[in-house]
Amino acid sequence: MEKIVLFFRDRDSIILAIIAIVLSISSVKAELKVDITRGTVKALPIAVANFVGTNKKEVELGKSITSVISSDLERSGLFLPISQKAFIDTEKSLDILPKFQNWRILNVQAMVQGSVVILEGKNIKVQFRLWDVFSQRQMVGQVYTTVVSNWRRIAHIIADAIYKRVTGENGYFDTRVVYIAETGSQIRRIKRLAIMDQDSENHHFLTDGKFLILTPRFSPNRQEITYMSYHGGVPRVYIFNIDTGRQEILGDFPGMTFAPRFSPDGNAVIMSMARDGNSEIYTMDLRSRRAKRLTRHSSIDTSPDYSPDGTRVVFNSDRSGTQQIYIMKSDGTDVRRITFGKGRYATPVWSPRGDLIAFTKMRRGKFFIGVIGIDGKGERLLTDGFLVESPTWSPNGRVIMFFRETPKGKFGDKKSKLFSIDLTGQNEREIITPMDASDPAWSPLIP
Amino acid sequence: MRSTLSISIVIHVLVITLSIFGLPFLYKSPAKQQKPLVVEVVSIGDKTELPKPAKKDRSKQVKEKKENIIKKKVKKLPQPSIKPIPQNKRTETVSLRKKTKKKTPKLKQKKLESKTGFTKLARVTPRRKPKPPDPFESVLRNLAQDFDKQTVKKVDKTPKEEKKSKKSDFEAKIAKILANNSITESETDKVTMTEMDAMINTIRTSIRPCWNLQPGAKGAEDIVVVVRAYLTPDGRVKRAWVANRDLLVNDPFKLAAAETAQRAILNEACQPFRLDPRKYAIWRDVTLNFNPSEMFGK
Repeated sequence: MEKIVLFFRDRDSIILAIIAIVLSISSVKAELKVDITRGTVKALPIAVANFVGTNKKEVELGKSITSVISSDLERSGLFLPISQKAFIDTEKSLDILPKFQNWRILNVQAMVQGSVVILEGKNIKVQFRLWDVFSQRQMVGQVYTTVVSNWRRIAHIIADAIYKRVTGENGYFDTRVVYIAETGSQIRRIKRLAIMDQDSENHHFLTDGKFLILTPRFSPNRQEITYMSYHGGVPRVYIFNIDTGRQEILGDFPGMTFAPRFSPDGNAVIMSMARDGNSEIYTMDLRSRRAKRLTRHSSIDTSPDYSPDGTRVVFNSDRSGTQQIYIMKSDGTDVRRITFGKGRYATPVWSPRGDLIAFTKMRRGKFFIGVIGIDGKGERLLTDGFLVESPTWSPNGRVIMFFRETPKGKFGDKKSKLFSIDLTGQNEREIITPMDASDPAWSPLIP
Repeated sequence: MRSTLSISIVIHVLVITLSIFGLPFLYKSPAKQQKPLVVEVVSIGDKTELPKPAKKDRSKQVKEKKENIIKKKVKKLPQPSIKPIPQNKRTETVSLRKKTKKKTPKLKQKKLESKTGFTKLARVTPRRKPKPPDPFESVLRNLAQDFDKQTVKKVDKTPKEEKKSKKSDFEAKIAKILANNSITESETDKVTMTEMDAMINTIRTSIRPCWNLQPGAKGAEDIVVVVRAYLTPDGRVKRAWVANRDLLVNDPFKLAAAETAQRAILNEACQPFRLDPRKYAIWRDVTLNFNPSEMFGK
C-alpha cells in the first residue's frame, strides 16, 4: 500500500516536473517584429565638403572638383547635396575622423571629404573618403593621380564611385554624349555632329555641317561613332573616328543604309537597308567587311539594336499591319512580337541592364518615351510631348536621354532640346546645349 | 562499471535535452507573452470593454426598448418631402402615428409591471445553484489573476478538509508552477495583442519617412533586409545592424539596400519612437523586416 502511495507521489512529482519543463520551454523570449513595407522616395542628403589643399592653387582646384562632384550627384536626382553655407564644421584633414554629430544635426546621411596635392610635373594627387554619417563608417576611399588638366574627369570618376557605393549600380558621370547640333532656318537647317561631356562641358563639333547627319551611335570603346549621312547625296552609313577625324563609308550596298548601331563587342554594325520600297536588317562584320541579311519580309524592318550580350536583336516592323516592336535571335531566327498596345512603336533601344527596352510611341498625334520588359510586360510611358524621340540609355541603364521638339511658333520656328529622365519617370531635366539638339547617343563607361 | 555507464547516459541525455531546448533555464527571459488564449480572453476584454452602464431600472429598459421599436417603425415610414406619396399611404402613416400615440399609455402600465419584475429577479439571483467546482478553476484563476493575490491566498486546512486538500494539493502545485512561470515576467512585461499592434504601428509609422527607397534600382522590389535594433528606454536607437548582411554583402545592389534600411532605423529625425516606457522590456529588442515589394505592387 505504501509503495502504491509512493508511486502516486512519485508520479505526481514527475508530472509536476514535466509541466515545469514544458512551461519553461514554452516561455519563448518575446521579440518585437515589425514589417516595414512602405518608405519614401527622396534624394539622399549628402554633404560634399571642399577638398582641402595646402596652398591657394590646391584649394581652388579642390573647390572646382567639389563643385563638379556635387553637380553630378545632384543632377542624378538621387542625391541632395547640402549647401556648404549650412555646414557647422569644415573638415581640415582627411586623417582626422569627421565630427559626425555635426553632420547628423543637418540630417546629412553621407559625407564626402577629400584633398588635392599638386605634384611635380603638372600632376595632381586627389583623394577622397565617403562616410556613412549614421553608422560612422567609411564607405569608400580612393586616391587618383593624373595631370592637372584632367581634374574634371577625376571629379566625374569620384562622383561615379560615390554613386556606385551608395546606390549599388555603376555611375554614369564619366561619360560623353554625341548628338546632332542644329542651326539655321527650318528650310536650310544645318546639322552637325557634336560631342560633349554628360554635364554639357567640353563641347565641340566633329563635323562642319556641309552634309546632313542623323542617328549617331557610339562604339563600345567610345573612339568611333557610326551614323547615317547624306554625304554625296545618297544616304549611307558611315563610321567616324573621333581621334583622327576620319569618316569611312560602311559597305557598298545597292540601296540606302540607315539606323546603324555597333554590336556589344564592337566588331559588327547592325543597320537597315532600303531597296525597292522594302527595308531589311543587315549586319556587317567590321573585320571581314561581309554583310549578312537577318530579316526577310515584305514589310519594313528597321531600327535594330543588339541585346547587351549580343545574342538577340530588337527592331521595329510593320509586318502586323502597324509599327510594333519585335525581338529575334542575332542570326535572324525566332522572331516574336513584344508590343501589342494601341499606337505605333519605334526606335527600340535595349537597356544596358538587359531587362528593359526603351521606345518611342505614337498615339493620337502625341509622342511618348516609354519602357517595356523584354517579355512584353510592364509597359510604362515616362514622358510625352508634341515630339519626343530617339531614346538612349545611360551606360548603367538608369537614365534615358531623348530629344524634345516644340511645335512651330508664330514665325515658323521650333525648338529642339535634349532631356534626360530617370527610369522611374522622375527627375526630367534639360541637357544644356549651345544650340538646338536632336538624336542624342550616350557613350559607354570606360572600363 | 554499470554506474559509470548509467551516469554517462544520464549526462548525455541531459546535454542533448539542454542543447535541443536552448538552455531555457539559464537566462531570464525579459519579455514573455502570455499564452494567446489567456491574453485574448482576459486582457483584451479588460482593456477594450466599454465601461458597464449603471444598472438601470428594468422598467426603464423596457420603456426604452419599446420606444426604440416605435422609433424604428416611424423611421421606416416613407419620406413625404422626398417622394410624392399617394393619398392612401399618407393616411396610413397618420394612422400609424395615431397608433403609436395610443400605445404610450400602455407603456406606462408596463413600466410599473417591469419594476416589480426587476425586484423579483434581484431576489432570485442569490438562490441560483452554485456552479460545480471546475477542476481547472485554480489554473484559470492563477493565469487570470495577479501573482500577488495567488501567493497571499492560503487556505487553512482543518482535519476534515485534509483528505480533500490532499487531492487538491496536486492541482495547487500545478497552479503554483504555472503562476511562477507566468510571473517570472513582471506585470510590465505583459502585453496584449492590441498593445503589441500599437507598438508595431508606432515603430512602423516612425520609420517609414526615413526609409529612402530607390525604386529604379535593379531588382529593388525583391530585396528584403532584416535589421535588428536595441532601443533605449526613451525610445531611441542605441544600436542597429543588418541581421542578414551575409546574404546581401556580395551584391552591390543588395548591400546598398541593406545600408539604406540601416540608415532608416538609425536616422534620428525619425526618433524617438513614442512607446510606453512601462513596456520597455517588450520593445527594447526589435527586429525590422524591410520589404518594399508592396510599394512595387507585388
